[in-house]
Amino acid sequence: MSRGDVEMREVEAMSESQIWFHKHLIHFMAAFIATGLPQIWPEQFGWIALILGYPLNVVVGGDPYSVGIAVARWIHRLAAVGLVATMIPFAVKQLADIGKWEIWPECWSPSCFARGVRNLVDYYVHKRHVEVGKYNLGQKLWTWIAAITLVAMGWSGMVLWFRDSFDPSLWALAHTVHDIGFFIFMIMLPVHIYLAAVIPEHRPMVEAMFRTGKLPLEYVKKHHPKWYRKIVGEKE
Amino acid sequence: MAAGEKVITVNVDKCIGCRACQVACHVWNNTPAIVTGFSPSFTNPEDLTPHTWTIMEYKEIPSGDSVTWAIKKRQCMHCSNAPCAHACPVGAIEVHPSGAVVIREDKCIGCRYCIEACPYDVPRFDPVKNKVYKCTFCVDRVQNGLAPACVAACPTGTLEYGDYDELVAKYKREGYEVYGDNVNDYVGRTHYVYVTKRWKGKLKEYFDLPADPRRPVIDFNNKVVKPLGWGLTGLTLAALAAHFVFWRAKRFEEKKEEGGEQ
Repeated sequence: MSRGDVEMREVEAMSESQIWFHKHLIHFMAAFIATGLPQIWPEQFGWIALILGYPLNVVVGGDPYSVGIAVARWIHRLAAVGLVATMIPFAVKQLADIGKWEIWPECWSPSCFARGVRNLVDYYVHKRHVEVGKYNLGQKLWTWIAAITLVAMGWSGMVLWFRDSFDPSLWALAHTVHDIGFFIFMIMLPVHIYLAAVIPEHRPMVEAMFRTGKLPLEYVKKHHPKWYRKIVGEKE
Repeated sequence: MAAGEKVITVNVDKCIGCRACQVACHVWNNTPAIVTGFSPSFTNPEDLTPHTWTIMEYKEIPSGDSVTWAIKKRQCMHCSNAPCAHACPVGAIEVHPSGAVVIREDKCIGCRYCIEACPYDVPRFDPVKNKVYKCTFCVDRVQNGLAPACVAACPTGTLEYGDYDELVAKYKREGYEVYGDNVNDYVGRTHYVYVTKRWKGKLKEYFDLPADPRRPVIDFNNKVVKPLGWGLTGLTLAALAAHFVFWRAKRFEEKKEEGGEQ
């Protein structure tokens, strides 16, 4: 690909399967959070349970709040089934393209990590353009933490749902792991949404993630110079 | 002491293991008797069940050159800081002013979080009804000025019911070892209080009464995970809001500079 060719083009940043999975992930995460909040902090979010429980309780009988929490727990579980069902084809597709993943660490030394942190500070605080590839250190860490947390949430969710199949000594541990996972997402999701969708300079990423999957090459050159050079075949 | 706070004292020195309390509990609460069985112990049924809210546990303990029984009436301890009530996501477990910790059957959804939290391993799940059950302290009797059914049935005076501080103070004055009036921060104090003079110094050991009843993982979740989690979530949101303001200011600055250059 010559330099002249790429200058005219956009770059595929997200594949169709990534766009599809991300959209569904948003639906499932919204369901998880909406139905998880009244369970973990009933004093503040109990109203969600009342919305879910009333007037259903008139039909099924019982206290509206209890019915609401029971409904919330079932929606939570159905969302988990949906997420797993969505994740399987996505994971198969992604594993086939594992060679193209950009989330691996570039190097492992402490100085390399320090450079990554400096890049983050330069970019997000000093608003300077820095030498990064498709993803910076923060984005890579975010992805790995999210993946590990999802696995932990899946395991602990299974224990809590099918608790009769597990030793009772695991119940409290699974409960706590699930709560820790919840808070990790409660911290990471606002960061992700803010940096991706609220910062005006990053709007092309939103467009790519939700619609076209493509980024203007100029944007890539400015924000992801290493990735740009990789695309145009320029030697660093 | 909260007004009307009550206690049931179990004077283990007097208990003969007649199981009158066990039967009275079934009768008053209209819970079915279950088929009993043989086991190495005289404890029968061997454990609490969704329909058996109190049992007599027989434990062999040393007595001179021989052994004797330590007979313990086991049931919900009715903790003042009831961890089961804190864990219940639907508020189905109520702590009454009398000290009774009661599961509201109409509200219980059978999630079993209370079982996870109870350090005395008391609540029992009924898979048929999808509800959790345990001793109610006979709250319906207590609210009508009556002693709980087990106390009323006890023929030896092992079980006594009365005002909390008054009754506990009486036993302390008389030189009894007391378990339950100040246990720990996890359960607070229990409204079933065990007393002994005969086995003074051995009450906890012989009657399996934990010195520090606690579910460490649940305790960690309540004391560390949740406060820290909400705190960090709040801090994150505040930091993002601050960054948004900072970023906008930087953008205006840049635009101004660009305008100046033109």
